[in-house]
Amino acid sequence: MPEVITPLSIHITEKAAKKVMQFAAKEVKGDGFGLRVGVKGGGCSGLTYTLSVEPGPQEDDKIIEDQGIRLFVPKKSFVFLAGTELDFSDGLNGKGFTFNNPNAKSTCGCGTSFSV
Amino acid sequence: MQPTPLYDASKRLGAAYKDIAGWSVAESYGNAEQEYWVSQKHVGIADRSHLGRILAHGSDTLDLLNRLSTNVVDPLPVGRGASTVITTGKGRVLDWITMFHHNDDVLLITSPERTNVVIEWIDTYTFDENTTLKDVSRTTAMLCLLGPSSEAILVSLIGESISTLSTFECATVTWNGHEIIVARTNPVGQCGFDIVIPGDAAEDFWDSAMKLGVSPVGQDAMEGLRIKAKIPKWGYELTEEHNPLEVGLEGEISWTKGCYTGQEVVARLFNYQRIQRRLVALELPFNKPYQLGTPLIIDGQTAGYLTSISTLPDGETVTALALLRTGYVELGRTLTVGEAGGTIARVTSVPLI
Repeated sequence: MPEVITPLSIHITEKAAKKVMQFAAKEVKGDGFGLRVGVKGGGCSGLTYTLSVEPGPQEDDKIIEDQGIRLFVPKKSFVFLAGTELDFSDGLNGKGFTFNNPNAKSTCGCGTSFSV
Repeated sequence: MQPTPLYDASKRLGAAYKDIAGWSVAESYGNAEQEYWVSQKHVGIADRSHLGRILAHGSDTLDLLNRLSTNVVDPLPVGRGASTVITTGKGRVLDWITMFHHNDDVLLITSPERTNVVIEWIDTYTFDENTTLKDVSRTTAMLCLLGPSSEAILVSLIGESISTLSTFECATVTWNGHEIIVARTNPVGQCGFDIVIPGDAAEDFWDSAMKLGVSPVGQDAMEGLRIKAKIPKWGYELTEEHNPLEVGLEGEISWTKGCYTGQEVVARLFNYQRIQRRLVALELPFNKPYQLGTPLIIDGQTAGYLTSISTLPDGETVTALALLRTGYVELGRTLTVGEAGGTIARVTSVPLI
């Protein structure tokens, strides 16, 4: 039997998942809601992460379930995000949502942009 | 080499041609010096069809280009244009482009050698955005009417409405049943207009301008004007090795708009005064042979090198452009061209910031 290779997936920490639930409760997106995680062009290093709570996936989105949250990842973004962990840091020095992305060769000073 | 839509019209006027990025473009019509002067004193018409023209369509176009380049291009109201530098993540120049927002589209004008690079770059960084690009370089022509009488000529050809355009404003007008874009620009430092027109209408427009007494202007004269106006150009000053601050494009950078690709590097270089070289203009004696890339020497040290040299004199001198190491940039400074005992050049213009 050939070995089944699982592609690197996108993960969300428990802390980040809780924060997403809080946002979703405020925005009232319905039961099928999920967190859309993607990239867009621009930003200091070339690519910027995008995050939004959406009522459902768009066509061609990859759907990943982790920590009780559905993640919707646009097809073109997936290759840039494979293996990424989405975390949340709060408190006085907290940065909010943070991305630990093994694909990122460099990131900008504020952390919102990266290049591969 | 591909002929531009003005090839035949230029041939009838006795043009000699040169290859620019695979296009066969008129380099002169027999007297480049006269073409140089008529563009400054009266009115000339030049073929600029070898520059790239990309039609960008979609509601996210301006936002996307704003994130990929140095200047504020969003918002850009319909009827307005802007120039901006597309930079890499390391803050290096990918191309210096001009954009015009007309009707529902944004027309991007690129350097002739960089059209495909710009399209591929924007495509790579397009994810969910509602933006599509179409290369219209081969189906359209671009003409430039330049000189003090250019507005009067264009009013005769098109009508009074174009006289209300300020610099970098554009309008879509109908001429001979064709929809054309007219923009008030100064691509080589002379007041004038760029006209983008369907390829099969270009020769008629050119001939109509000729009948009003406009003189044809070739690329040799356009180069002389560009260098005199200290405007950098791809392949001469602009390369992927340099950032915009080094090559005379400091005026194309917004310091307040926030993130764009390469923003941190550009801001850091400026704030920490780490710009290694700057673009300057030089005055050189006329009638001597000069070569691009020749080093410029001060006290036995190489201070920089020549990047553009005009072949058309202003009096006894010609203008050249050079990249000089920042420590040597000073108005009025003299340098030796090439080896010791060579011609003396004098710095006549330095960056303002």
